Amino acid sequence: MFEPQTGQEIETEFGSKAKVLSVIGKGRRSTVYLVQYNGRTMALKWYNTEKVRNLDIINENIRRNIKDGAPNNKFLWPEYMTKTDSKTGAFGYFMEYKPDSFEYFVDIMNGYKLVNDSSTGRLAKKKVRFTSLYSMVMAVLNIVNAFRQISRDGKSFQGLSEGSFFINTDTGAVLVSDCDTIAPNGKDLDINIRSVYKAPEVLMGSLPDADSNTYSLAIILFRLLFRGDPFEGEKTIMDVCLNEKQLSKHYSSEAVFIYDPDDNSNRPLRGIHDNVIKFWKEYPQYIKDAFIQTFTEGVRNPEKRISFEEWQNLFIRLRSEILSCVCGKSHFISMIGKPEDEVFTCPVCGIKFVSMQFTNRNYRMPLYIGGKIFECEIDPQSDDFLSISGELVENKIQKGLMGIKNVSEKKWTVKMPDGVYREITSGKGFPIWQGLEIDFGKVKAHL
Amino acid sequence: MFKGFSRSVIGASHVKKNIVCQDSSAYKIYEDFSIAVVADGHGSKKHFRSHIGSQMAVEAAVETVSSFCSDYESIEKELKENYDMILKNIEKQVIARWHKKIMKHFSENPVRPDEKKQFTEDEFSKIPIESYYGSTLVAAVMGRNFSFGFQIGDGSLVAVMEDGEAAMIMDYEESNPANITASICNKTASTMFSHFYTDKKKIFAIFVSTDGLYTSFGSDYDFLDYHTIIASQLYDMAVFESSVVKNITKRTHFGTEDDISLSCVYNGKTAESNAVVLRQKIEENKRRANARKARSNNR
Repeated sequence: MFEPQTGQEIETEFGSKAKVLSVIGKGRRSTVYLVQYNGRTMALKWYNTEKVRNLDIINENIRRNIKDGAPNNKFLWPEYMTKTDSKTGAFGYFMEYKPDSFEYFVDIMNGYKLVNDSSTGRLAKKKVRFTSLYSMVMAVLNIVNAFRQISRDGKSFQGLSEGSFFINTDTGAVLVSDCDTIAPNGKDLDINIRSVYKAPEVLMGSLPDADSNTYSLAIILFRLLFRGDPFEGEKTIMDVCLNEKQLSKHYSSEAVFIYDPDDNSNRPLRGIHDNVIKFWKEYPQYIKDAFIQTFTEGVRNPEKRISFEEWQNLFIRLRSEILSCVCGKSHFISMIGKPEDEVFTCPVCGIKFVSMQFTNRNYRMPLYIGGKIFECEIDPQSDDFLSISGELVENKIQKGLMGIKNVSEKKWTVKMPDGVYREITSGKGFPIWQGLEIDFGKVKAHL
Repeated sequence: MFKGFSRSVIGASHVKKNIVCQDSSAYKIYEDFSIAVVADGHGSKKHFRSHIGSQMAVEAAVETVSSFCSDYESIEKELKENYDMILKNIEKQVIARWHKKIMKHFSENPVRPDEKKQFTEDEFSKIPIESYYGSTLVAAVMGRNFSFGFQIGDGSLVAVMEDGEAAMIMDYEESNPANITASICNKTASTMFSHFYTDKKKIFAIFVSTDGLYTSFGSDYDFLDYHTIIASQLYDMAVFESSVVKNITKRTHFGTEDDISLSCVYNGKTAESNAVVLRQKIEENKRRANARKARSNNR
């Protein structure tokens, strides 16, 4: 088998050459190298011809993806093919290299990554955690969006795994990897991935499509939020499974969600599933209900699965229900009160926070310095979950006094403390006060 | 084909302090495979039922391995392809069985006032039930054509090859933090195991032991040579048993004076023929030990 070596030059199919700098990672099916190409540092994914049984189909799919182009710049999309090795048929493709600020999904799941400790020369564990609840929910929204982008192009993920996403734990930004396994719906790349990421119907022989991808999205989200597997509980653990085929029944014909309200045979176990047990308690019921629906009725009935748009709306709500206290702790308001409460108290330091009621929803948004109001929250027609329209800021002169700054291009109308309604244009702000009323244009809000 | 041995002896420090032996050990022989297990119940006061926890850890390991290996042909075939996945499944099932056992014991035996009196109410409320029963676990499995082992926490696993060479063959997780004692009672204990699998090495016997044995030796060399010596006696179980029990009892007065458990499984068919090779190896080890000693004295 031909394998690129460090220092070797690998030819692209157009004849230019890339120099192999080092090995980034080695999997069963492929090895990823760091390369220098035309002054750019890129990644080269090279297939193991002895382990990949359908190289022609993979090759055809990568060419199709290169031609179609990436849905957006959040995908580490194939850019160029290498020349195929004439003796072995081996080949690879070049893509953008992941910046160091992005962590592996699997490291976030594990809570650590292995790094070389320069003082001892030994491998050491370094914590990998989201720096805030906000960055975690942003990561979720970005992953949902990646699935939506793929779905809009009539494609689906066929090689989904722990390695498919890189995440910036400070911001929640996401880069999608394994883009060579994104293929048109109904096209079979015949990729042998772990059962735990596959939809039940795919495990039972159907081809991946939009329905199976809505299911796989739920699996990815569950694993990210709860750091565990939705179907690995007591029933799965106590079964003697010697291979993926035997294990797959617990993810298809005999799947029982670990928190199925009507079947407690597969509950998570202490000593094994402590993360899931801990985190399941921390999320609001509407998030848990969405997973329950997808992993119970949705196992056998794809129509019952939560759609990409529904997931996006649920997590936009969850993002608006985060309370970040000055003491450094963050909470979902469901952990410390009821959605309709007007005041929330930080359980760690006791500081109280007022909340705002919007006219288009039945839950309130806690107000804290650093909080954000997004475009999609004040315009019911907007799908834009990233653009910030308003920011909760501290008054520069009167410390401790909180206000809202309009950072959108639109004019808002606000009832000020003197009782007069004033227009708030872009860049201007106004104080938070007990009689506050805001007209954002399509949505109104009051304290 | 397989034979085995196991024994736990109380440590001198435990006798002095009037503490029960917190170690447990067992072995089990089947036609196609065999299991040797030891467990060391933790000593600190919050683990006040660790002698029961170690017994349950041993039982959980034997039951789980017996269940996974019951279809011997299948596991032999599948281990070649997926040993990491299978061993992780075994480790998870061991934890699940252990939890079930300790929770059953706890529900049938609520904490007694004499167990609770060493804590304040506040201290006691913070101790998870699993901690009462905390223990390490080391298990070795010899099949006709493979061997594997798994371990959580302190302890040793030594394989004595057919040529008499002794080696610690566990693939220890290098990155496990040194200051955290891995225990079957830990949260996310399933991620704290180390394990190994081989179908290549020609193993004659595998010994597992609790930490008390290792700490009774001055060096890794002496510890490994000891295993070659005792392996050479396996052809006569009566002699082996009396000699080893006497020896490990004596060793509880060395090092940490902790309890000592030793358990082993071995190929009973070749024990006698191997004894000659092993005795030659012992002589070779003695010469090496003398050379090391001389080098050390010359420094």
